[in-house]
Amino acid sequence: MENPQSEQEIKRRTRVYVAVSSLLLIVTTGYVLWAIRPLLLPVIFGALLAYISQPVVAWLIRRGFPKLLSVLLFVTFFITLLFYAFVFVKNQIPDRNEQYELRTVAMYQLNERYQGLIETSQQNTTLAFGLRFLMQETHPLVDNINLFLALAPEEQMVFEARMDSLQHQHPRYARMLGYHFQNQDLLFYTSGGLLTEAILIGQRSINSREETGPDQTGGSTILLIFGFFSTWLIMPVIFFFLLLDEGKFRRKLISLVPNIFFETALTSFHNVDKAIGSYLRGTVIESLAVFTCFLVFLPLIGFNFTVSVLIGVVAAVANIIPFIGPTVGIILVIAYSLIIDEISSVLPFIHTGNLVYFAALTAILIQVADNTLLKPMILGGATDLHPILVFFVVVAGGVMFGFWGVLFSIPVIVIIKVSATTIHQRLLLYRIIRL
Amino acid sequence: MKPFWSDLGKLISSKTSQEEDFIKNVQLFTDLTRRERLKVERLMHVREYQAGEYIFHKGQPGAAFYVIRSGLVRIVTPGEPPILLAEVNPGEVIGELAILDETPRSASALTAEHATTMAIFKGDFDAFMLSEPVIAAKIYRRLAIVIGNRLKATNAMLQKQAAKQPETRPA
Repeated sequence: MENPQSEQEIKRRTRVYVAVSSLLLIVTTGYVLWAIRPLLLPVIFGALLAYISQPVVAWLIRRGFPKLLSVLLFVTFFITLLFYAFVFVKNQIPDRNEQYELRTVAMYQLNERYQGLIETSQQNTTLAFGLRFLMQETHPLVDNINLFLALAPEEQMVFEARMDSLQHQHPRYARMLGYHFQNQDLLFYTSGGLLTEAILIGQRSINSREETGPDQTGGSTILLIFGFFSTWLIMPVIFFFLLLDEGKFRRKLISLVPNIFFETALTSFHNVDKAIGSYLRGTVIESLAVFTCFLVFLPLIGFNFTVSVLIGVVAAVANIIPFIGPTVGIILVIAYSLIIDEISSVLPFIHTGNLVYFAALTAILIQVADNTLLKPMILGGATDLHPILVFFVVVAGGVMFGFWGVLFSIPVIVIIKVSATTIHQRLLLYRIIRL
Repeated sequence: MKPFWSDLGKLISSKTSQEEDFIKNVQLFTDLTRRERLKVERLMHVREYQAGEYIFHKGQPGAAFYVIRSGLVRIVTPGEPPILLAEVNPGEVIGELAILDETPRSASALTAEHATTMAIFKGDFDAFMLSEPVIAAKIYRRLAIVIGNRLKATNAMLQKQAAKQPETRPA
């Protein structure tokens, strides 16, 4: 029989202990993360905000403010600012009636221009031949956009009643009503059927793929506790406590590192922290700059202020994704300039007919200025990723995690790139590995 | 694996550091007030070493300096066996030049017995210098005294050696 105190027996017991406790830790962590998955996004946002804001708090402390007061002041200021920004943006979002008007004008303008293109395609030129070929692909797309924009029967009733009552006050409403009636005569470009009939039977897509309702995932037990509160309430809490943390969490993590890797871990952590911090803060500053540019220049060429705010917000958020993001802003600006039927530009030579050229030029110039001036100045080479890699990562992020996957895929890949490069260099420098 | 699990306990526990009394007597921190010592303590990483374990190696970039908390540490140059340069006791500091520049370590530090150290990372100390310049100035002043004392000791040792071997001196 084996001696229970022998070295071999102790080693065997240790191995079993480590294996069982590791398994338990992995399973428990996995379960908790899965159970609280709706809370993960607010937690990540809170952590990111704290991370990005650290230099501001450090600046306040250097100015002689006590730590707790600095954090309290900054968090209060930031949450108030966020609240007002949210309320401001929310107020800019068109209400139901404005949405009906926008959809009606958009549908009318889109089909006017598209029918112009169809007429061009029927001429006997090389361009017309190319257009005819292209339109085989764009007909279904335009049909789908029409189905998306078209007002449902009950919406039509509300819209008509409102326009009827308003048309004597301003010619704009009479024009709108005219657009609406013309929209009702529209035919499908693919099948030639009447669009209004399809709307009557509730068709919203020509591919007739059944629309699925919102994802009805089962409610998790832990979430029930938070049932009465918004999950986003956790964000400021995380934000506050991480700002107050003073590097304790990092020290605890470093304490897990074996002695041989201690200095390597310290310097890697420090360098990665510096690089990622500059990248994230730079991205926020750059997005704010892009938002400001849209907000200043779009109203100048005649865009409505509300629309400029909305386009600015979307373009600023999309700007996080290199190559792909900037095109979102350009497409939005061009699309809106194509559907708008009246403008009030401070520049007298801009009118609805040539707005699209000036709008495209403005959006492109903003992006060029961003890429040639802001990005190199603020971000340096942190985002030096190959375009194919960017495209692949964004698509993969979207497939795996949807919208948030698309948005966060590039910051995550930049973090991974910076971390891997730094750790690799440090391991070589400390002669822990040799290649 | 074993140190990982014992260290994981530290991650979960919220026990505060008990090093405050000790820090008071460390040569580098003797000028600091209690409040200032507490601030410095927040920068420290407590590390434990088995006997015969290297704290750092000669030639590696210096990223941190260490206060010996317990145990005996030998400063050696690599070789078989290593050549002993000095022995460092609790309360003394090693690798302190790391906070001045990033030149490679001039010697290795090897534990003679089970030892505990309190390490301060250069990056953290640089940031600390910006937020707490008064405390940093006091530490730098003490560091200058420590280095000055070591220089004096080295000069005295060289003079003693030179006095012992007058015949080997060139004419």
